[in-house]
Amino acid sequence: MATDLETKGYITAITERDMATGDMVLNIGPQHPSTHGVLRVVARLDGEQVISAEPVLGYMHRAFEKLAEQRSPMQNTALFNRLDWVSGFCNEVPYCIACEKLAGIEVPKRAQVQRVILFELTRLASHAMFCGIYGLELGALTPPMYGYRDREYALDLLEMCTGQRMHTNWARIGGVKEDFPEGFYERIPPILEYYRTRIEQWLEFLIDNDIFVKRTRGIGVLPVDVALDYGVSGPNLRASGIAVDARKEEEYLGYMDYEFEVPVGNRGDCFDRYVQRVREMWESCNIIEQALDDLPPGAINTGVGRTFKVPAGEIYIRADGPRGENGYYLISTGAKEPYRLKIRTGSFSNVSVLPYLLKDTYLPDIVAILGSLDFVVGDIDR
Amino acid sequence: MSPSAPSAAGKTSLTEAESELRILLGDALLDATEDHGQLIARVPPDRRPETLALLKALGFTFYSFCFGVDWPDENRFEVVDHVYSPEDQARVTVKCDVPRDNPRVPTVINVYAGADWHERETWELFGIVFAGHPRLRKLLLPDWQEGFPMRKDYVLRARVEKPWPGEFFSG
Repeated sequence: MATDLETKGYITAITERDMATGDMVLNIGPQHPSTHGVLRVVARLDGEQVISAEPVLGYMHRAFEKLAEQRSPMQNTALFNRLDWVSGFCNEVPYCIACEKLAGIEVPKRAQVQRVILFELTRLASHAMFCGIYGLELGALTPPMYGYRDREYALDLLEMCTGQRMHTNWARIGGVKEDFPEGFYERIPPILEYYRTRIEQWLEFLIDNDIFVKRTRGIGVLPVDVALDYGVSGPNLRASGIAVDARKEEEYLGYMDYEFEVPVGNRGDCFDRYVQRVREMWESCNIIEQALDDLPPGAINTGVGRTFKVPAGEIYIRADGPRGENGYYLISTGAKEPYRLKIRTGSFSNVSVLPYLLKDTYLPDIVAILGSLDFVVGDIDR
Repeated sequence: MSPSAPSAAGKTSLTEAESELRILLGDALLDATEDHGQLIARVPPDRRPETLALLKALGFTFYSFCFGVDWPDENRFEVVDHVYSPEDQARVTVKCDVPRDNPRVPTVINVYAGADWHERETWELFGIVFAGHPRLRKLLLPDWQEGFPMRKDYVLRARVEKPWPGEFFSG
């Protein structure tokens, strides 16, 4: 039996071991609800403070760039809506534009406008889900219910048009697959109206919540120069205070013809990134409304056959998707398959800034910062 | 930084960037062409960091991506960097050729911090060594992966074992 002194020494040893704040390595993921797929973050902690954090990727690497080299241009669209499954349609469109621009195909106006409508509907669905999920990330259990419900309204429209909620596979080289189904056009305005009321509620819902503000204000501040250095794009970059938006800068889908604002944040913290997405939903509604007025009659496809080959040349096409700059660098030698297709996804660059953002934050902030970047692992790993 | 004013730039700033590069790089600028809204500049591999540093100073602060292209017939890899200027709304692609048997190119991680992951990806997929990169280890692929999958001589096994059933595009 141990003497009093020995017991005391034993207890002291235990307390010292438990209280010591030496480095501790904490694995977050790969199976963690806040990682939207299978991302793993290895964080080195001192107590609750993060000394360094490094994302570990590749759990979902499907080698799309290699697969694309073995498939015909037409088959490839079916691959690319699997990149970022939350906004599948937004990934197909820039690829189709890249092929069209190289081949010199003029896409009919009606197809362009229909693409814009579906593109922005997908953005609404994606951002609505983010708004809900981000509440969950911070410990609020009600917002995801609303988020998923709101998202379904846009996805219902996509399903009505394309037959699929997420992997639409609707964009074709030279246009879209088919015209809008009967009754589709009329169904959009009420849903936009619904979204507008919901957007106001989203703003009140979490922004008026003290806990939400305290957990996000000043957390994960991303300065503009760092964001540009890392290639952070989309809402994450604009929340840092610079209006970079491919819709305003590149000539694609006729976005130049629509009147909409590019909202810009000013602090670049988690709070701004959240508000940024809510404000972008409002602009998406504006664009869809104008596109509906704009929808001309005519053909929706130029009828490019499935033996279509992309002529020799190279081109980079970028589009502003919900997750940032989604681009395709297409190098073709005129063969039946693309010679090389580099897929530039928003999430990859957005997540690459994580080691910078997570350094010297605290453990609970990790999830808040991860969530605010709104990445999808399929989009990172490709 | 204030939000950049929308301008109908692009075209003029690309020619400006080209002439600036021509002055600053001299003979090292092997080729510069404008194609589909972007300037494609070709430089020797050892001038890659210098070129990108110049471009960054010219306002091309957004590092978009870097990737490799395999040209086995010409025995070379292409290392392609793409940068963007938010102010001028112009895009520049910088290319350098490295021999296929000794693919080495200096890293640009000191110029653009974001090049880190892109270079690691290009290294693991093509085997192009980015000299000076501090953490050149696998990013997307598992550690046990052998070979460099994006090289043209790396066959896609699924296609070898089962031919593609398509009528027009078999094999």
